[in-house]
Amino acid sequence: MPSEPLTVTLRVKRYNPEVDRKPHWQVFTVEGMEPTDRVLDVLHQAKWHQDGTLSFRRSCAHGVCGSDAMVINGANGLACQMLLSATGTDVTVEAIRGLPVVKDLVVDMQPFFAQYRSVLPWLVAADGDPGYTERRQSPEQRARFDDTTKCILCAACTTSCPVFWSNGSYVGPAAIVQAHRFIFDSRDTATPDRLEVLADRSGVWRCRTAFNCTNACPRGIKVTEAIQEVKRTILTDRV
Amino acid sequence: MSAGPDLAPAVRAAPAGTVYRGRSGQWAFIGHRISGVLVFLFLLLHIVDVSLINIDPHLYDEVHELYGNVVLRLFEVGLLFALVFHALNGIRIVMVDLFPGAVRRERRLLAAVVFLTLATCIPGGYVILLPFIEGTLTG
Amino acid sequence: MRTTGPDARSRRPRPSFETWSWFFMRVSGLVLVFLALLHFAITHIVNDVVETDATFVAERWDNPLWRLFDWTLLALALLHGLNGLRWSIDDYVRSPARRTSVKAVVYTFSGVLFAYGTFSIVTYG
Repeated sequence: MPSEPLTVTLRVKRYNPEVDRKPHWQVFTVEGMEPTDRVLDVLHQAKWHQDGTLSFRRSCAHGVCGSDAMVINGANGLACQMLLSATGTDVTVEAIRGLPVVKDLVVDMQPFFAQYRSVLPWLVAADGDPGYTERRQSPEQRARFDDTTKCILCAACTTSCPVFWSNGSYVGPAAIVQAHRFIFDSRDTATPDRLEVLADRSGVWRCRTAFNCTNACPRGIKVTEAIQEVKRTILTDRV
Repeated sequence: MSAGPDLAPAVRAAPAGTVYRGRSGQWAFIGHRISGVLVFLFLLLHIVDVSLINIDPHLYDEVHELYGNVVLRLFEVGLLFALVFHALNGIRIVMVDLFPGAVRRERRLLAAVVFLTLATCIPGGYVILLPFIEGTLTG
Repeated sequence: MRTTGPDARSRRPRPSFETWSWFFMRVSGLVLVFLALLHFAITHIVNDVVETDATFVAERWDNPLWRLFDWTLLALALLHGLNGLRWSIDDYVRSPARRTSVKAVVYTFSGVLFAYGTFSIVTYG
């Protein structure tokens, strides 16, 4: 049975730091939507047909590139994954929190990526390994960090964290997830360096287990569990 | 659902900051912080009032009597709630830190924390307010 | 199966102050659950608050074990609360200069009260 077209009331928090003194809400009425359309489709309709100055990021539009994380009806998610059947026809979108707004829904991701880089998110092979041969591991060893390989660096977790909002110096869930991915990789040798970064003032001990990150992750990564594993590894000093 | 606004995009004044719609864990975190600060502030006050006993036991008694009046009894009930919630939620946090199983069941654990807080603090608060309820309150 | 790495990772990470502070919060917190709740139960539930007058305190502090109990409660609660407050200040006071001054005030105030409270418990009677 074909469903009746929906009329969506879209509220967008608009802010252009170069012009506006503070953010304001703009309301769009978008007609002809389907329950299987996504919030991103509504944003497209608003931008293409009503106000071309509306700014947001999106690239692949299929939940892989991680460009369009935003606060949708009060909680973080990807606009390209959030169906209207889940949000209803009243949709409110804001930029993700804790990062400087460049314009409307576009934030400056540099602080986020700086924290990502601080945990050495790359494979550090053993000394003297030129990398000419495969670095083999068993299925069990691979499974140890499988969950955290799913991260797409969309920042939905980090910008849902109350500690990150109040103090951007916290390295944040995403960086810890990325560190977890290498800490528990049997081929990697830089674990002590990563643990040293994460045991410091802005590291894992800042986590207050509020679980917003786990609830926000569009990939369903068990973020809090990963952070807790890193904490226990630092505490017990073994992997 | 709100009534449909005009088709033309309407610019409205921004309301004050929106609240992030986190789930129970976010509110447990906020409750833990607030209850912790309240108990700490009371502790500082409590050190001062108990230490009066060293200066003059009569002065201690005079100040101490204030704790028996209705307003401060209500305050003590509040303290009981803050203390018990902070203690039980603290146990929940330690469990979440130590056991992966607790991470997966944190919402049920929080429900247990809230239930146990109410189950102990409502009777406890009743006992504290008893002299007031029975009308035997003096001072 | 050949895997690389496991030997290199046995290098111990430097123990950090924040690790110990986190660990202390868990341990002191669990001890305080018993100390603080027992203390509250004795002074507010078992006895009515008006009964805990100077005579009550004097009788209790006749026993050095109760003094030890009260002092342990004082020390752990203050340190636990102070560290919690330090974490909150680190979170919410963002300007480094103001953070330092807020911490200085809080530490000094708590330090003085800790000394005062300890003095009261030890020297009473």
